[in-house]
Amino acid sequence: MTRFPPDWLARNRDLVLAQLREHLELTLLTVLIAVAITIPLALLARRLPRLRTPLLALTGTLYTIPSLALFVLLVAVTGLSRTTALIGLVAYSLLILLRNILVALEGVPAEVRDAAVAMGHTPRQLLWRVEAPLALPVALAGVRLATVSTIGLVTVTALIGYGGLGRLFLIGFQRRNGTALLTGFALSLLLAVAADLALARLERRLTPWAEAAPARTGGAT
Amino acid sequence: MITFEGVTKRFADGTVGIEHLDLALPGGEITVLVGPSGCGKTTAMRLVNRMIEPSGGRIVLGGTDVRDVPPAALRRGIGYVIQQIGLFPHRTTAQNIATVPELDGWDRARVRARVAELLELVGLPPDVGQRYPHQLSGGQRQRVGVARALAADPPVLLMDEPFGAVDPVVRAQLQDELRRIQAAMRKTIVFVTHDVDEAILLGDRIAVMSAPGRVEQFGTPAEILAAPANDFVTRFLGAERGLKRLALIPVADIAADQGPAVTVGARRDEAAAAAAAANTDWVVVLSPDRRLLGWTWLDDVGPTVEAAGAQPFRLSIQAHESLRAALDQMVSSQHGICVRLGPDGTYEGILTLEHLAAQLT
Repeated sequence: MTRFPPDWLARNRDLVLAQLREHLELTLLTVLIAVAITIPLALLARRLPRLRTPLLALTGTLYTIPSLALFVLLVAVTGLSRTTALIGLVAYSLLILLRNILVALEGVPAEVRDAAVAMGHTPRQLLWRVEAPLALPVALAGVRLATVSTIGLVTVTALIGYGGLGRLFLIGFQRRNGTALLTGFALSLLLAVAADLALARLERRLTPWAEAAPARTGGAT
Repeated sequence: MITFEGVTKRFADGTVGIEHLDLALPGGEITVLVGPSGCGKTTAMRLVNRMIEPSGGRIVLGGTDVRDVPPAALRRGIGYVIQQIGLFPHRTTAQNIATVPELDGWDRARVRARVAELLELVGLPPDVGQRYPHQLSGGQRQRVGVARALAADPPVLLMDEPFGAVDPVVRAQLQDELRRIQAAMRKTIVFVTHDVDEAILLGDRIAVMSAPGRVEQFGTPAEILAAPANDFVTRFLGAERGLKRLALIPVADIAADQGPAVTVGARRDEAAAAAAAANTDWVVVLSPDRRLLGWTWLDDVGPTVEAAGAQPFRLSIQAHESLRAALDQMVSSQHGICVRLGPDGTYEGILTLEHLAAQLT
């Protein structure tokens, strides 16, 4: 029988805050690491187009591994560590980010690239002055998606001793504590919505030129 | 001066874009490459700024083989305008125009002053500078494209169907403005179009091209219209070649013909002599200070020519207008003539179909 102890939250305030903090840290680290990995990969795939398909296939395969299975496998290699949690979480974000960054770069209109080259941009100037800023909205949409999906996935790492708010789910299940379950559920939901809104806002702030402009850079994923 | 010396271009898929092109484009002039789609005119243009590299031969720009200059540096010295314009959507109009000066490392104040100057040159109000491309009309965008190409004052300009995507009214405006700007700047312009009328209107010289990159005829618009080199050129010039030629010739090229002109107060026999000399049954009536009063039938002239009996001409033409405009007036005139006036409104003479025919043969 599941109980809803009304004073549980007050008694465990420190635990809840610590888990929320861990959840945020894991999410932030995951997205930062994944972005740091995918940007060079995307640029590499742009330079060597024949790498595009294999890279997407590789990250796609990682994405399809069931999360529980992946974490169990990783524990065998890297033990019950935060590294294990991060490796797994990063692996799942790669596909979303890589695909979005590639689509974003490919969505730069051909005539804009042509004009930029013909006006005398070097390849590097073309990338940083034209392609990167134009790719930003779609790339950021990918970051948003990766962030929100990571926030959900972090809870799974509770099974290897981390998990942020996911720990509250474990407590809830093991002790039949409905209050812990609900708290974990509500906070992770809030976190996801807040992150999504904040990133959407950042996206608009960084791309004032895109306001009211017809979407020209293709879909988000 | 841009010279193509035995240039060929074979693409990776084996198609031949250009087969041995020899062409010398004079400096300070607009040379129009005109021809049907697929004739290699755009390929030829893009060889100049190395957007396409030749398979053989060389392109010499101002005495230097373009392949001896690093592509980015070469291109910053060559303005570039295309039909799709390719404005940077993430940069304001001012930032777009400032592109090449910024790449060249101009200081901010100089860039700002240059942008203001160019907005004015292409006829855009200053506040357009702060807008993004998606907030501009098609015509405004094309003007920004021209301003951007002129920003660092390159001696050479490449223009590929730059006015192809705007409506006819705006296109005519933009063509006029290009002529006005060019009259002041004397750039060496390579202008690509498939539109014969645009070529005739803008070109100091025209190269009529056919696939693969063959020049069928190279000359001034008047030369080509007067004597098409072959059937291809004749067909490409299309119908109304005579009218197109007339459009290029100013009225001033024809010596003024006094026609059957008499001054108010002339006797009847003087009027009759004037009419007989011009082989007409009417006379032009002028005031003593040679202002045009109108015309009258010889039969209606009394003992002397009087101002009161003169019927006004509805239309008249001036020296700077074209013979095509003169012809237009002739066909709507009762006598099949067109009256030519000086800038101060004094009578200079009449034009007849015979005058035009003499010009075309």
